[in-house]
Amino acid sequence: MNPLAATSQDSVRSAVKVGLLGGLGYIFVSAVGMVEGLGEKNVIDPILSLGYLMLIWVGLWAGHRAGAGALPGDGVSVVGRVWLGIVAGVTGGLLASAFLIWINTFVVREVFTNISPALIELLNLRQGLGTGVAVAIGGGALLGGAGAAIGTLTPLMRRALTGSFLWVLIVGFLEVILSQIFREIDLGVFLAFLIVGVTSWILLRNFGDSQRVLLGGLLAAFVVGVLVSQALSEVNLGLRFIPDFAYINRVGGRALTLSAAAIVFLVAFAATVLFDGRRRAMRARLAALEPAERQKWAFGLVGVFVGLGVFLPMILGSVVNELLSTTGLFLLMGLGLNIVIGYAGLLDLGYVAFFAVGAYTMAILTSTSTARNWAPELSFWEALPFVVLAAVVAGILVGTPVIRMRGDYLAIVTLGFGEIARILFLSEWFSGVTGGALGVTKIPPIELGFYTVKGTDTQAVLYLVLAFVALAAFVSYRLQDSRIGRSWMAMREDEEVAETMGVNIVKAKLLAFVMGAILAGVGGALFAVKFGTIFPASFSIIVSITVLVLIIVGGMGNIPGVAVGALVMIGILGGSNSSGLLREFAEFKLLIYGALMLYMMLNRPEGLLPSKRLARELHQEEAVQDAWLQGEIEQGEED
Amino acid sequence: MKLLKLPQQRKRRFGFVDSFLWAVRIGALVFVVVGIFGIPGVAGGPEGSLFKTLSGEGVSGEAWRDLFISGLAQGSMYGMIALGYSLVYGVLGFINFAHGEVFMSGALVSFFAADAFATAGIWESQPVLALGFTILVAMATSTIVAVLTERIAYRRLRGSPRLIPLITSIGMSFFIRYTFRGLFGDSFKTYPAAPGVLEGRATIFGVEILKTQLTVIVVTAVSMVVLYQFVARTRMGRAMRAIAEDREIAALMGVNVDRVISLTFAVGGAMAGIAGVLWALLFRQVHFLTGFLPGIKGFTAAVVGGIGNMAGAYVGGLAIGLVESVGPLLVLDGWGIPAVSQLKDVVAFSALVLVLIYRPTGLLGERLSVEERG
Amino acid sequence: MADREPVLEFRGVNTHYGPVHILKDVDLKVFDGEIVCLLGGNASGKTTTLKAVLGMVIPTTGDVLLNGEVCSDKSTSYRVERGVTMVPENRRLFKRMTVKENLEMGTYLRTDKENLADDLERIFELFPLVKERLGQKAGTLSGGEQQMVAVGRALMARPKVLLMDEPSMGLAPVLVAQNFEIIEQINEAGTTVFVVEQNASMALSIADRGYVLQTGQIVLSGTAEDLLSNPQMRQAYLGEVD
Repeated sequence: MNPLAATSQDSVRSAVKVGLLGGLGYIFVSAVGMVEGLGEKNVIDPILSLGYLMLIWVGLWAGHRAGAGALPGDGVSVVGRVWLGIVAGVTGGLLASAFLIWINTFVVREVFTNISPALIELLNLRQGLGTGVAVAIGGGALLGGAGAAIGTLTPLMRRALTGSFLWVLIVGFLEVILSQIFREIDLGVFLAFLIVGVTSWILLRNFGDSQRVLLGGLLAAFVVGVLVSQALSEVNLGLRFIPDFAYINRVGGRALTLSAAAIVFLVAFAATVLFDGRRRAMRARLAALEPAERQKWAFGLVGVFVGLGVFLPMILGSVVNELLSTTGLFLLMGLGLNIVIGYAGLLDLGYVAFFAVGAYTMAILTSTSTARNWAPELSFWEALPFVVLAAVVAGILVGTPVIRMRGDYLAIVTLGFGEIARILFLSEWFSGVTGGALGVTKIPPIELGFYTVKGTDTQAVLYLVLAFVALAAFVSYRLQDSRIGRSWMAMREDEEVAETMGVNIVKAKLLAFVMGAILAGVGGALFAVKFGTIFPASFSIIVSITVLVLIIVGGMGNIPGVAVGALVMIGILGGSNSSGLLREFAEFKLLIYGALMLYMMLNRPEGLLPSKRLARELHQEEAVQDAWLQGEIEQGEED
Repeated sequence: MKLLKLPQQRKRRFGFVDSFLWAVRIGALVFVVVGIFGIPGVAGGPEGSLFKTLSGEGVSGEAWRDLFISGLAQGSMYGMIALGYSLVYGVLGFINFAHGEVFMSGALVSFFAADAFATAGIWESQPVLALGFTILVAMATSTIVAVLTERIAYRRLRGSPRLIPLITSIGMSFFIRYTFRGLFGDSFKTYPAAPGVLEGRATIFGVEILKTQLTVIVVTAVSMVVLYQFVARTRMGRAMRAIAEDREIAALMGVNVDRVISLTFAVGGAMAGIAGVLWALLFRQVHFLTGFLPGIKGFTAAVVGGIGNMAGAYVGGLAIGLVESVGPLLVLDGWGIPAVSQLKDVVAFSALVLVLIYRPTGLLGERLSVEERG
Repeated sequence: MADREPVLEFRGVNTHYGPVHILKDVDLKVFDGEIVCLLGGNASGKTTTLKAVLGMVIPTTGDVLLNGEVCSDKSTSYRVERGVTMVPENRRLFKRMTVKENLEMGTYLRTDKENLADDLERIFELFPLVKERLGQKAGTLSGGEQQMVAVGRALMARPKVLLMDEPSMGLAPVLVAQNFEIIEQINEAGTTVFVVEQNASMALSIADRGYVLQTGQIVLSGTAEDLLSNPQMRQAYLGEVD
């Protein structure tokens, strides 16, 4: 049977096009330096480095697109699809080979700084150009076919396959955290978890309706848990054999061993397949729940996170704790910007200004350094109200001029404000108070009376950050359904109509800016204390954009989404000045953020965990197109 | 008679916002006036830059002239960049944040051409040829980048609420910027010095001016004239104007809307590419971050002149260039603020903020399409 | 007449706007050299019909045919190239361009540059006022003058079929009559005209045939005389009391 007969000219043509795009992807990933830069980090040892993974992913994507390109029901068989995938893969491979030949023959490093001898070696698999070309074309064919084949599987199989692989990646990427947990987990923490978990389960089941009992009981459980964890912290559970088995030391960081990877894959696969029925039943039950019941579940979930937040930092170690507190600060800002953009619909691109105001206020008021003219040397708690005050003033100063502006001009003006703030903080003019380019140093630790939270005490700092984040999350959550929250939403939909319904636009907008400013300001204050020194370079527009990407990726107007966004982006890829878990990405993270933003805005403007309203609004267009398509299909059936 | 949409005339109480805005207006005015003229008779108070110049302490007459001219040169380039923003806003109604990177791409890629010419000696021996070719390379690069951004991202978003393409363009700008960093590295690329024929100063109408600055002003002026002729006289230019005014009716006339919109992006890109080479000629160093500030200032210029308005882009550019160049010393120094050159960008951004608050339609009035005015 | 192919035809056209069903199973034919009018009140679907002819609205089911060719999914410029053009409702001239430039825009797709001058002369004969205002910005003209320029602009494309969207809208009655006279003249010179109108009596006075559209459906059709004498028509649209 000739597979070509099963496909149409159009499908082949689009497969070729997709293949060319894939080839371009190969070239892009190589030329930009990802293959080399990420090549040190092994995902699965010894076969799969992160750099190669990027190339593999390109190939699979191309194959999948090509194979899936043909509409369902147009008579293309499985073989046909795989064939299309292979066509795409080979086309891409040919383009990639052309590139390989080019870089093997000519020295282009003068122009393209990342096309280095090391890259060429990597692409040639260290065996020379011939191997490189063979791998490109052959690998292309293989991956293309595989990608298309995946597309032909049942949804369950597909989910199992890709999901399991994702789990392998996750276990690999989170090596630092997982190793740390397994190595350090002690009897105390374990029992604490158990106590809190069991208590909350019992409470939810039997006293779920009485909020007071719930809260009181949980609090008691937590206190007991903390005491137990402290008491039994010396008794290690001896689980370190797990990470020692699963990971192997390599230059780029510990990588997952092949056997461990295989185990994770198989377990995840089996779990997905076997529990599929259960999963769907659970989904149905959850959807059918009464709001009161759902609140209980939500409560439980919150409890789990609080538990993790209280007990994990005890065992995570300073590197991870430090990373988590940075993530927490970004999360704090994300929650603030979420109010300004997500709730009120005001696109503030200069958000970092509020962060800077908070940081500088705290720094100036508390610093003990003698380099500046004015040093009142207050304590953290004395200074905090001033931080909030400064944030409120800043919010009003930024918000008032832009009240009557249309959305895009508002964005640019706030951007301007952000830059003005940064330059002024940097300037010599204000350097008497702000320290100019040298910043403000010697910011003292926080006195809690019974404990001194030094910036270097990562666990305590993390607790402090988490406490403020929890507060901010709580406030955000309450604001959503409050009167002002609803005014914001009305204003966001249609300002004029909202005004006719009695919303005071001026107050609403100012309040949004002020709330956002306060959250960022407090974040800034914590930032100042954590690092003990602040420099104006930390407050660039990149921070504003990073927070923006965060809430877009996570879903605007949606609190859990922002949290997930923060964890994924900042935790894994890295914040604006720091690296995340995967240090290798530091060089590429802004590129990835740009690409993420593009992807999100073009495909899912409402973000990863969409707020259902926004999703509905933005997909109206597609509904219309679907209707037309439906009409076309119906007509086709009639003929 | 231009058609400007007047804001809803509602009876508004003179509230907080209005008092604030008035306070800022007056404050800004006082700040500028005192900065220039000082407060006479008050010891230890602001002297005023004019007074300082006259008394010999401040900026000399020649220095003012130099600042003025460099402001013109800088402003011409801002104007070229502003065109891209203006054209896209006039037709599609959103701020193309990525346009600054379009400018950067032309400047950065053309560096390699200029460098090759310099190594081969052609830069000095055949400066017109070399420079001309370099400009062509820049134009080609910027045009390609601009058209690609439209095809890949913006075409799909036509008809979306305008914040969506704006945010998309922010993502696009980051993507382009860091792709170029990945491709070409993060070191500064130093252009060869201006070829001998453009070294030093010339005297025009009795005024001394750097030859490179003169080149910039002349090349931009010529480009603007050529562009104007293109848009005013040719069939394609008419199609562009038709689409900028009423996309539906233009389609009715048989205009291929998609293609002409691509053309609009291409034109903006080409102008930005030329500006890129000129920038490199004046400032010698380019780098993947070179596009950010000129991009924002280009947008400011577009708004100052009147968005959607081609002549406005040029005028706005000159205005911003002058304000940025002369402003710090004219106003800030008069107040005795130290190191005013650091604050150049603050002046530019303040101009942006003030214009957007008080006169968002710009000096020469905005030109939006029927769809966007609605 | 029945064996000729229509220059414009709708076969079972249905259109939707989101979930809303606008045109419902619309059938109509326009033959070469005719003046056909489409009558209906507000929200009857008249403008949607014109948009469907031009490709600005794509039917969910059914076909739009131009000169026998199915064009349902072809672009607007494709159809304009095939000889359809429209005088839009409310003129919609390019206000920032001069009158001359507006007229020139009408010739955008024409490749026979030699005939342009002649066509321009013909427009001047029809609308002497236009010649006087050539250099003025179109936005400065009065409503009636703008209508002339709009018609002129459409004619410059040498269309086979001229669509007119409510030519009487917003014009003083004297001008309306003038307008319809001009439409007759244009038709005599060889252009097929498809007029969409609310003003039924005016439209039927010059038309050969007509269709009546009500909430997206064709409820009546026939020759102009038939429609004029139809009692339903007379009551609903011609405002006569029996």
